Amino acid sequence: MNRILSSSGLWSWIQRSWAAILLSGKAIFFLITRKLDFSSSLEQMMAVGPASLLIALVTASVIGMIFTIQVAREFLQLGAGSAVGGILAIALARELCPVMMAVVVAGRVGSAFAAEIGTMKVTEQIDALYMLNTDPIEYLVIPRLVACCIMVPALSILALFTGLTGGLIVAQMYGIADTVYLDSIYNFLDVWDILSGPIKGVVFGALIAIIGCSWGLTTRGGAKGVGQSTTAAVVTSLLAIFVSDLFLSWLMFQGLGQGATMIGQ
Amino acid sequence: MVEPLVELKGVSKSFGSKKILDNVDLKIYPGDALGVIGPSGTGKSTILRIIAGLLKPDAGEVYIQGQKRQGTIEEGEPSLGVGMVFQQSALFDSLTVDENIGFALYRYSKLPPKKIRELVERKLEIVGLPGTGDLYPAELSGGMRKKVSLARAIITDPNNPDNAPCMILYDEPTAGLDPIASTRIENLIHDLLFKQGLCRAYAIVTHQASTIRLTTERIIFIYQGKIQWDGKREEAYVSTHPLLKQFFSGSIEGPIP
Repeated sequence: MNRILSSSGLWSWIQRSWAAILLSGKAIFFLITRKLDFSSSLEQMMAVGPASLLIALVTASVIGMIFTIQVAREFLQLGAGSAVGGILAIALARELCPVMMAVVVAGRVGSAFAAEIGTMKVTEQIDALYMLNTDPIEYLVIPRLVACCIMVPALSILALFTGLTGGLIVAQMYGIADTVYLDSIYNFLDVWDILSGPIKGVVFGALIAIIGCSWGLTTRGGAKGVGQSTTAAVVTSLLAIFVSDLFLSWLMFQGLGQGATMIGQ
Repeated sequence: MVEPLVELKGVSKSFGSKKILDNVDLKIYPGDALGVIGPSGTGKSTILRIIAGLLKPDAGEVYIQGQKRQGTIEEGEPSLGVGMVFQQSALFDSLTVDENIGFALYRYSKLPPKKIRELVERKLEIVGLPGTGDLYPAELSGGMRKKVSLARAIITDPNNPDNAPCMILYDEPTAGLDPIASTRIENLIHDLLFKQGLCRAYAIVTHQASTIRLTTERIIFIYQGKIQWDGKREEAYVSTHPLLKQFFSGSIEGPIP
């Protein structure tokens, strides 16, 4: 059994996942007990947020457009064109924006965390930090964690507006009036829908930072080990984002929705 | 009687099923310029890392200036005045030379940044790299990186002299350097203890004959997890001990396969 686990890499993945869970606990402890390094956190925020902005906004607007194409052509057949904006808004606010922004950040930033920290690990820089009486969790992990927990929700909010704007452009092409589209969004979307995206964004941001940093800190070997950690960190982050989204959606949206009752109004 | 700066008592360490150190006893005294030599994979770097507090022995005790190490630095144990220069220099790539050397002072001391820059510049002069504080590690040669790493190990807060390193550990400080750069580093290591008095003792892991000759006064030879020989450098060169004879002659005939 052990041989099967280790030859498939599953045993290593389980060990690293456990290390990531332990790292989460330590990070929370450090966040509570130690002073936050604002300049380092700000530096990481710039790397996570503004540096991801263009790709995030392009992704959001394109997804808004694609979603509107598919919804508009079906709903217009049903005579429910007035619901297109609302359905798009619900999908973007609750699921698409936080998940897509998390995917973008995991691919762009989570991989960079794993590669940078992994390189530091194999070139003894992490040991050097210890010798300088500096805990790598405090110096490397906390600023990245704070940056992701702030910037992924912020990107989700921006993506919602960009996605809706993209949807508006496509809706006009299908003959849906601006006022109908915007009224639909206003009627369908409630405060909880708008809040759910950033709340999910905080969780996804924490997962991306912890997994990226933990996979980096547990890197072994040389360049090959860094490469493997980087790939594994992205794959694990994506898996964690999708699985946690399932649980978050289940917890946050229990019972029946009110959206369908608005169709035709 | 002089108290040892570092004392290992019955230290053992294994990685997996492989025993790297087996019941090692070692004392390092003030003024010691100790060379730790032996074939590859025999636990030389492991000894340094245990003294530094980066590794925990499976058995045995480690004392630094009479104080027992309770765990590793990762577990919150202080460095106890031990500095380390790593084989790969281990400079932080995203920081300048100035920020690398003054790292601990910028983070933990109450000194103004201008004062720290002055202290850093003074250390850069000592290691022969004046005016390089604004460069990044990627802009330095291998030898320069080693020197910066050395400067980082010896910088101290003048308001807190208790934190000055009592001992510096060098893990293959001249590996990968050309002979001239090696000699510069070797002279520097020697001078830091014997001329500048910036540490009280040092231990060097090395394979380089020139490093052994120019930096060490006492040698321990490690093989199969044990200290097989401990004595003065001059005696090591003329020793009839089969391990030492084979090591210094570089012969493939002998007890070391």
